[in-house]
Amino acid sequence: MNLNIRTGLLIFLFSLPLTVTGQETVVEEGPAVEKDDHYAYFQFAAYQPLSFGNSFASEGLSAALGVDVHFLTNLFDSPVLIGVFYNQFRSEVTKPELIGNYIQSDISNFGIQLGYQAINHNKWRGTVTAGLGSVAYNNDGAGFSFKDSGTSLQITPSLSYHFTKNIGIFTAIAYRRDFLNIQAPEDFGNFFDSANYLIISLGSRILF
Amino acid sequence: MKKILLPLLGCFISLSSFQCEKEVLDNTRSVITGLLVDDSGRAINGLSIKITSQHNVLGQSATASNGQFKFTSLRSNRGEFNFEFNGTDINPNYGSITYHYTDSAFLEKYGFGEIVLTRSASLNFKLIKTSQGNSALDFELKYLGTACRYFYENNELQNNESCFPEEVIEESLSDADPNFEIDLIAPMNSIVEFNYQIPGEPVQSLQITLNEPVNNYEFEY
Repeated sequence: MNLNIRTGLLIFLFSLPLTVTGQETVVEEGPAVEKDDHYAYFQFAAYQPLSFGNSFASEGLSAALGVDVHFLTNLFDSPVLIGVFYNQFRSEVTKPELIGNYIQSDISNFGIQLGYQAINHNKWRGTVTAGLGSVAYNNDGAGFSFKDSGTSLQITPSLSYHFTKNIGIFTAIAYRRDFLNIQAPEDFGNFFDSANYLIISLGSRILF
Repeated sequence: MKKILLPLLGCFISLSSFQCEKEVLDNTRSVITGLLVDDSGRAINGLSIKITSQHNVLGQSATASNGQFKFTSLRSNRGEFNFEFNGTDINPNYGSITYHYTDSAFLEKYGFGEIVLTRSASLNFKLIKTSQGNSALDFELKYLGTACRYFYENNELQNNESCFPEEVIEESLSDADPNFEIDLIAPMNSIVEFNYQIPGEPVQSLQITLNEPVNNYEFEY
């Protein structure tokens, strides 16, 4: 009896991932649901950061539209995603008396990310990813350049719609925090320690 | 082949060394604070302050209405930099002060306290020939400049400041070019010395005291 229960449980547990990520159309009671059979995607997006809080980025820089590239793949047919990302945007210096006398900053960020596929449908996909990256603010002045660097954390919920098996569009609103290594006097408090962004992305996905 | 490779290698080395020598330190900022007043103790509003290294401006601001200033600067990597108070975008009502640093690390904080700038006065000086006949005039104008420079080495103030340097203008006027006009700036209440000589006559000397913000002096000969 115990053996039967254990066998039944094992069969159930092993069949669960197949049910979740199975490639066949699963027919359940009621209307048919087309399960997601994709295992990876590239993502290209327009990327608009909106800085907020009391930091050098929100008080002294004005961010322009940037670009964002992601590659994510499902981990062992599970809803867990793993991947890499790169994004870049430019900010103009608006208040040099607050942050130093330079003109603009090209801000690039690359790293790894983990995610979870929350909505599981072949036409729709809802994901949440958390990324850890290396961020560089490459700053240009009139006749000189220098760099501010640090680490970034980013949490990105996104929703995509797939027109065909391989092409879709998506939108995302992300929260990103850059932790910077800038050495500044205590007078500034946390002003140069970090930068907070709310980021709106809109772009396309190529799915596999 | 050697003839091509050696210059290329030289270029590469010089380019590399040029790129390695950074003007501005990465990942650093400094704060600059202080108060600017004139020699009568009044706060100076809207006066420009700049921090320069070579030809680059690393930080700049202007004083508030109460004369105070606080701003952020990038840090020079050269060990040679200047703090210029009214050094550029000059307000002609005041003199200028420059703190010139050599062999000095750029500190994270510069608190200048109270800096006193001398008030300046302008002089519109004219020489006009009114006499008939051939005559000439040799003259010189001696006055004080309004700039003051202090020198720091290893962030220590040196005893070789240069303040209010004497300026001299020398000219000879003739029938071909008989008139002269100049606007000059000198410290308020300072004296401009006007020495002139008509050929065959002894040197004459006049003193003009600049006791108003705007002064005019016209000399006819």
